Amino acid sequence: MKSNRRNFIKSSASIASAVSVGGLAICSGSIKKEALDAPSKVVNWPVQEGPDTPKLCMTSSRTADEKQMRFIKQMGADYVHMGGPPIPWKEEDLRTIMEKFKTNGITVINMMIGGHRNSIYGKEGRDVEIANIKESIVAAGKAGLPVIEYNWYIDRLNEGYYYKEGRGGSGVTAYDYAPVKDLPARAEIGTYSAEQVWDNITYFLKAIIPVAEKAGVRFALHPNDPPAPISKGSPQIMATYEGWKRLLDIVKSPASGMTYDPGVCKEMGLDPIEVMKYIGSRDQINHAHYRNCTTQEPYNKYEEVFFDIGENDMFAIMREFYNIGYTRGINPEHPRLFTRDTEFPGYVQGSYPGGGGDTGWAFNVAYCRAMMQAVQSL
Amino acid sequence: MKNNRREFIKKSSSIAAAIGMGLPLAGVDIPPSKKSSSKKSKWPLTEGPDTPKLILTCSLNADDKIIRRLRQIGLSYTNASYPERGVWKEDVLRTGMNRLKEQGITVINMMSGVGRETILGRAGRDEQIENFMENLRVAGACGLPNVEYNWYVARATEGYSRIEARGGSSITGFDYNKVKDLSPVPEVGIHKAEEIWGNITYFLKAVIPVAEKAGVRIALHPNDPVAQVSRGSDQIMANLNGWKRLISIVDSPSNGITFDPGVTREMGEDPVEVCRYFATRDRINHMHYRNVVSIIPYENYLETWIDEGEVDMFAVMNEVVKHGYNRAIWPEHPHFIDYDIESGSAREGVRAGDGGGGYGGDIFNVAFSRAMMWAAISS
Repeated sequence: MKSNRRNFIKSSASIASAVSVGGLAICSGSIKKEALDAPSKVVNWPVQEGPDTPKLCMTSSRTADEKQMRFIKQMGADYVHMGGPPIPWKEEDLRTIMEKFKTNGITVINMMIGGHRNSIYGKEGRDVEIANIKESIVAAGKAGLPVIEYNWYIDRLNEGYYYKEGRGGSGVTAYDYAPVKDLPARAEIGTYSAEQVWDNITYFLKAIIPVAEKAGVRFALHPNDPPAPISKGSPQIMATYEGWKRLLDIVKSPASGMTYDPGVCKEMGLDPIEVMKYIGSRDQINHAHYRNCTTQEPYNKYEEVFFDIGENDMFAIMREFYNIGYTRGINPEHPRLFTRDTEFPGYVQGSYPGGGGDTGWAFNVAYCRAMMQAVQSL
Repeated sequence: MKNNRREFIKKSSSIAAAIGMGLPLAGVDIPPSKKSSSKKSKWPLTEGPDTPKLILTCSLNADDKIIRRLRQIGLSYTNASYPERGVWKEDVLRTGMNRLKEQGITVINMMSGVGRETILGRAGRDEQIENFMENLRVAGACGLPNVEYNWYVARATEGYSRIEARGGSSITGFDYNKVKDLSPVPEVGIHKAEEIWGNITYFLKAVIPVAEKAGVRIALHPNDPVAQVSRGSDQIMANLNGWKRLISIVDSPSNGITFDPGVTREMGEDPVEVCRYFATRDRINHMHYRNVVSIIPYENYLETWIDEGEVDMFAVMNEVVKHGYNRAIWPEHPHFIDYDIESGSAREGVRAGDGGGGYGGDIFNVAFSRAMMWAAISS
């Protein structure tokens, strides 16, 4: 365990005072001064990612063209995550996608899998989905894809998001539960009790996790975000800390993990460090996002603000990633909207209200990279 | 005399050994691991009287669009350029500063020209020096805390070139070989170091008392590129001895430098140590925040992406924060990304032809610096 410079100085200074109290004439004054003048620990820059560090990862698309891959490289990112192809995934297709990125110096670290609606609802057809997902896992394992991410929403409450003006007229994604809490269930979906949903995910995990373990692939469930307790009539099982813990207990395996997101933690009023310690100690953080947020009312009202002005101590969070020995992807996602992006066509992806494009990504990536390098320089 | 860390550790452990021989270690504070955060900071952190201030630059006449761009990146301070030629006028400066202030941006630094006759010690310098002093008086009257200046006999910018970097982005390189045989500018001629020292001494002895009285500090930007000889003339601000000599000419905090870890590294020096030298003397009056890879000190280097150079940017930020530096930090020299070229934003950058970028590059640099600043403050 490395000690940081401040601690080092502190301990040296106390040694100095101990010496002086003890009456040993080793000129304690000058020792103390030397301590303050001591150069920082020498860290060889540029500090880089390695086998023992997290990997900064950006969102891309499996159809990304040269230009999009160039942008990722220009940002200094060497890893991406993206939505995977329709299930069942084929080893050859995954290899083709991954090779394309590899040729451009980028490693695909995570793909999101979908196509399991019947599994979520516990409906007929889920066994076919599960078979397809198992086949996909085997393909991922052979292709060398380490992580598969998935979602588990009955019906996500995207309607609660709205554009909010941020500093200097920038765009921020805000969320308010009040206007959407009574939205009715969609007829084609209906409503489900929490225990039904738990049963369904249990059935799903018990089927696929042994296959994932064997294939050397890890699963990461993204929390329900927004963390509305009830979305269009159905409770959301992944919108409370208890739910997260319960999920991790269904199959106690590193292959059955979560996507950890300090922003979502804060939306729920949780301490992101404590949550990371808990999930990390069980080796079940299989993917991570890096976001900040300002919470007006836990679960119900918050703003996804710029990284540098939210309530999360983003430095402490980054330190904790290193403390727990996390070596997988960190995606500083949800770029904010810089007006400059709107002045030229093609630069705003805007998947969320108040979400931005290239320059928003530049901000997030640079901020995240600096935090990583700061921790590695301690 | 400086100890390096290795020596210090050696000494500390021998002290510890000495203690161990005769004293119980009960009172010794064992360094906590990285696990426990050493300080609980209340986030979000904000800039305050005791923190550095992150800046970019704009014109004193910047329109709403430009001001908005600064605000959106999270800046509350800026460097500004005076919008007209000639001596500064109090009403122009005050109006400009107030207008920016109303939109949340405080002007913290401006560059003032020093005339060629002053630098070369020729007839006409007294009038130029009087103009500079008037700028200082105007700055003081308007509450501008710092005025930056340059001191080049003949700057060898021909040594810069655009270098392709990661993902086809562009950075700036410098190669002394490209400029070492350039002939002197005819109307400038060749000037030796001692002559130039004489001229800057004459200048500083005149202006520093005025700066002190006006409550303004001045900051000399190092000669950059750091060629020792540029178009036949010596460069006095292109080595550490020169920087040290400069601040000794007039012993006043008003007589300071612009500290730039990038330039420091271009010379092969240790930026943390150099930062400490000037910060302990309260002579860092302005600061840039850049990174480089030095291939041959003074002669060949790359102005890299801020996260890819040799300078430990966290150690530099930590050092600056530790000394209570509360003036400006400008993460300047953005690099080109495709966005900047395709959106036309690249043309807005300085030195666009030499691998310098635009708004996208600025955003990257500012976000990186902001994270480093918050990390240093909370570590």
